[in-house]
Amino acid sequence: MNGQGFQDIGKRLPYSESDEYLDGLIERTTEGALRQRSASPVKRHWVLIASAAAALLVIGIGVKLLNHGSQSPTVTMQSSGPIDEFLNTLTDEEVAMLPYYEIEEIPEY
Amino acid sequence: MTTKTDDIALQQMLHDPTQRDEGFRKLMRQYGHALYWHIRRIVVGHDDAEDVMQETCVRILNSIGSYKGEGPLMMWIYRIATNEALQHLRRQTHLFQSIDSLSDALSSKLQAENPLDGNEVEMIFQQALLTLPTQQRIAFNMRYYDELSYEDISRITGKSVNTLKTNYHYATQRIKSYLKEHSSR
Repeated sequence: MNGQGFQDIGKRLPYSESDEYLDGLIERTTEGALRQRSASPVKRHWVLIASAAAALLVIGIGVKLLNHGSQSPTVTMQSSGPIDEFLNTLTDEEVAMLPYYEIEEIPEY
Repeated sequence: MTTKTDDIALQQMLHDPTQRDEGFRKLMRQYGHALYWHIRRIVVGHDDAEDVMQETCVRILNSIGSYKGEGPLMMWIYRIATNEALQHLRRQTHLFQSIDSLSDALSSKLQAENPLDGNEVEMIFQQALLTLPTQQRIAFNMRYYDELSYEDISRITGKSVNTLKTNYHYATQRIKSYLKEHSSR
């Protein structure tokens, strides 16, 4: 059954690589694999360290940016003098109108 | 193909850290040609075959510890090479595309790499093989070119012997009809 009907074609392949070429290729790939294996533990170690350092850096920058972004631009005033008490009684519109008042119009305390 | 004794001696070398590199060289010298042609028949292009050959070598070397001598060494390295070649084909597909859909691309590659004075019948035969579903084509190649038994092909592909026999039968029918259709042109 094996190959039945294809005897006239045979088992040749339409490729032209010679045995000598393949010997060279096999030697190259074999030595390449051996080099890769012997180099890989150290190489992998450094790749891991570099990846971890890069990840930490990115996380650090990300956290910093997030913290910076979440900080409110408004400053909480923690004073409670008479001027502040007066300002607290004003509406936003009244505060907006303050620059148009004459100095005499502002009550004294 | 090596004898069982060769396999045992090789296996001992591969499991001995002081002899592993030399054992690996010996393994590749022994099976390298067969491995290259097996890969080449799957991926078709020479450059692809060279890439897969390199990946297979690395994989064999890194997996030597997991080979416990359950079967012949050749079957074990053929299995690794088959998986690497299939992975290589998968990388050439788009999302959700089957590797079977690569047959046109592989066929073009075959034509591009074939010397102009190449044997026409051999070419048509190769084109016929490329019309087979990939797994069927791989099994056919191992049976036809490497003359492996169905049991050995079963060890490599993980398919049952009966499935392989049926597939081989269908593959030969399909190739014959392709040859009949294209040789008479």
